[in-house]
Amino acid sequence: MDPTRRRLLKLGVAAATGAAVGFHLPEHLLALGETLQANWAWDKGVCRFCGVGCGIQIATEGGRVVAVKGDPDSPVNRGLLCVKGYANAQILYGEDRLTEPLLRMKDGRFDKTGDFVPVSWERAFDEMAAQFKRVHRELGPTGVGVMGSGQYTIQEGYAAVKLVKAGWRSNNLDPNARHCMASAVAAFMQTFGIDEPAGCYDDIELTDTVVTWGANMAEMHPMLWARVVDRRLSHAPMRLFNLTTFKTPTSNMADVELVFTPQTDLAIWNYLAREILVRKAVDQAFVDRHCVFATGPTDIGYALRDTDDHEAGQAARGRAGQHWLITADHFRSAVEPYTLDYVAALAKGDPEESLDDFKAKLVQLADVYADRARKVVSFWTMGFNQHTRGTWVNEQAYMAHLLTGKFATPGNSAFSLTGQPSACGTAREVGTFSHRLPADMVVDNPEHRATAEKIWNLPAGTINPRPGSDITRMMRDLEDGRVKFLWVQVNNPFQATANANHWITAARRNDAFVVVSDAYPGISCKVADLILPSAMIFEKWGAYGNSERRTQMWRQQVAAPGDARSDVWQMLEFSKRLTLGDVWGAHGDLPSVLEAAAAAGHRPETTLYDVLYATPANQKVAWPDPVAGTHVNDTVRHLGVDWFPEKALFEEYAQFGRGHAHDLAPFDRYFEADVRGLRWPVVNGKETVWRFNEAHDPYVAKGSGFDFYGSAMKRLPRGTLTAVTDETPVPLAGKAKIFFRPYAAPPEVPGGEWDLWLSTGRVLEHWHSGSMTRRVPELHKAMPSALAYMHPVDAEARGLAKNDPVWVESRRGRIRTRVEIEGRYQPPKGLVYVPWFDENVFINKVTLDAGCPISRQTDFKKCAVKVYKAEVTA
Amino acid sequence: MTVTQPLAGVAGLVVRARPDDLDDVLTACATRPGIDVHHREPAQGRAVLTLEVMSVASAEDELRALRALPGVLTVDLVFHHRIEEGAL
Repeated sequence: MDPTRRRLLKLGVAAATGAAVGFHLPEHLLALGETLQANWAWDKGVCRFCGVGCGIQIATEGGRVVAVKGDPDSPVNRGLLCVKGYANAQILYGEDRLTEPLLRMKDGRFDKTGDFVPVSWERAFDEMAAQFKRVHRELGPTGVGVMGSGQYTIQEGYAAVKLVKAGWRSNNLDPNARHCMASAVAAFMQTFGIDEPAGCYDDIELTDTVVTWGANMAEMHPMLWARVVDRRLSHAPMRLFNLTTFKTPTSNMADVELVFTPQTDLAIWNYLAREILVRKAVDQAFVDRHCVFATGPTDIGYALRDTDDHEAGQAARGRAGQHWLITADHFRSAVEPYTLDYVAALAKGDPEESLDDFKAKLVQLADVYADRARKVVSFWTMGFNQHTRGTWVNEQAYMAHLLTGKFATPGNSAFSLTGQPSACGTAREVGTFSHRLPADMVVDNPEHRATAEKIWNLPAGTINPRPGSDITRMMRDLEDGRVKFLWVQVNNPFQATANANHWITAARRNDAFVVVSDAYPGISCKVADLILPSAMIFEKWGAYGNSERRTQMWRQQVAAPGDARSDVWQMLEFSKRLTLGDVWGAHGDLPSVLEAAAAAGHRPETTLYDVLYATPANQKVAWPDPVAGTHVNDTVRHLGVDWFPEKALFEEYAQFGRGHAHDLAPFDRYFEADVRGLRWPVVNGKETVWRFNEAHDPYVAKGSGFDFYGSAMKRLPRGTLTAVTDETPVPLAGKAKIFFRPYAAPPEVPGGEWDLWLSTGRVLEHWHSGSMTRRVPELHKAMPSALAYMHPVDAEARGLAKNDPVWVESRRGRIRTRVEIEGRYQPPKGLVYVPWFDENVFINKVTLDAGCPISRQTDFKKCAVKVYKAEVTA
Repeated sequence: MTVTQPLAGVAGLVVRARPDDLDDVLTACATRPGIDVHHREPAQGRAVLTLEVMSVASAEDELRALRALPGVLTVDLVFHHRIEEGAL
């Protein structure tokens, strides 16, 4: 490249960089930046990766994305990006993008044992429809399912909910977000009666303390971490505490770090609660007016199969979510055993640390929660949510914040950070879980079903009242032959689900048909029967909702390669292949709704496309639309319609939440030049920054100060710490629940032959299963394969040196990798950490599919393994 | 420092250091392959760098190397200009 041109290019990038983050640059330099961009068209978007929801700007030229920058006007990331931000442009252009449907065939026909052969969309959908009908005839609605995603756009998730719940009358729709933050959802619902956080990212700049629990924010949420670091450096009283089971890059900035034994976070919270009571640090007026105390059964099991030995004697496993009111005295007596001595001995996780040092740190931690003058934000991620008592430990965080009144006020927050870009906006708010409908409604509530049927213009009784299978159970259903048609969307579940050997074998059952829609070939594609090539983020219109309730939208910027098509198009097009006669008849005790449909003017040969998507109302949402400007819509083009599916679906979906504390703004508003997403509820055009707080939330009853207005699970019986004693329901309007939850050991702990804890997790450069970031050469090179991080003493005891090949083996399977004894992750003695992004180090063959019985989220952080030297291969 | 391999892109970075450390930090940055130091704001302790992204090189390796330099507080990506292979 011409050196002068290269020099000018760099000057232009430098000028554009400086301008984006507010450097004062002279005119001639600014002009260089502008010259570079002279033929580029910029538009706003949102990063496709984690749940932080960083604003980005995308530049296109000649139909290609040529640049990405942090959006200087984004209140989330203020112009900065982590290295994954860079991947937003690169991921569109990986060499192994899927560009045509691929069907396993032999001799021109579908054959389960055949090789993948490129086919037309017509041929792909013909086979898919035939297989769907075969299974639906044999097993009914519970025999078919969709594994969805926290990376679904809002419109994709909503289209999937309608297709599965209204169309197929199945509730077998569950997202990978089940693995990501279902425990956070369950705890929100049980504590507040409504999902999603009270606070927001603004709390970072308003607090005096950040406590990270099971959250490697420095790597997993880098731009929020940058804000935390800024606050630490600019606000003298600010202190950082890090609670973790092994050292991570987040440890580097911590003022105080507590390395604890896996699962003992439950005991640490109860120690904090006990200290708050002993030190008389309870905000009594707040608790008396706005809270009640509650608890539930303790022997609730581990969400394993019924026949698993660990489930024996777990008497309450069928009623894990049950809970009842207790008194403040019950609560006090329940936390009394969690003394400093008891908890320190139980929880100290680093054998090389002295007990006295660990105790001193526990006291310091109690000091910040109990200090009335100090504002505290608690952040957590997978360490809490992927936990066999994940719902409980989330509830314990609210317990401490509610007891001290450090909640729902600026600078005080207990906040679950999500891992996926629309785990909140789609999986939770749209309701792509097996028990949910939009706006926190659930399928087993007749009023909620009636509401959905009214908005969807369906015959009464269309929606199946029985919750479907969560994603892990759907895998077990596949293994048992109870699900035989599976469609995987925006997700890589055959890599991402624990105890994976089982599920990979299950997918290859002769009578199962597995469809995988994806942009790149991952493990799930390898076990599929039909692969459908999907458009990626800026190749379609979409919307995401981030961790702080911020909904953000983007326009299509470029065309997808080859025959890749948007997931919305795939669902709408497939729905043309299914008629009401195929799916709305009687199945088992689910009655036919065909007669009622006929009364509404639908014939048995009417397609799901006509009933669910191309409704008269939706067809009035015209394309082209002024909001598009010069941007195209390939979903519209390939459907051959003159209406705007992404807008129509969004506006229809928004009907569920408007007026019900989930208000979204009109579609067009999100595209206005000065809008960088809006935090719902958006009432009278104004977003809500702190929920439940009268000063900020329009849904709060006037004069109440605080109002926990969520209505779910707000009538409870009374009882003692062990049982219900009075079934008479007590109404709890406006109240939050302070739960007592005891310490409970995990089902599998190290011992004997299996002498080490295994924890799995993510790394900065790779995002989840790595199916996208692994395509970016720069990211791939930085972390070429997942390693087993061990303490040097543990390695030496096994005769292992750095880089030695090893097997990591559990009772379920083993994987081969290499040993690392230094670097970014430093486990204490007794624990090994293996990241899960690398399909060649398939750690989910080793993990245990135990989970939280309330949330049904898997615990990927704890099982017992052994590590031993592997033979050296040539 | 400029290198001569073909470019896959140019990234614009912002590096932050305590104001007293900024000069030393930038001197160290400037010796890294593919890094140029452009604009500095001494009072704020920050500066704009560009990173030449090679077709097979690792932007992240370099970002990590920069972060590991003594005195560096943060290195963030702000701008990434992607260049089509063979275009330049």
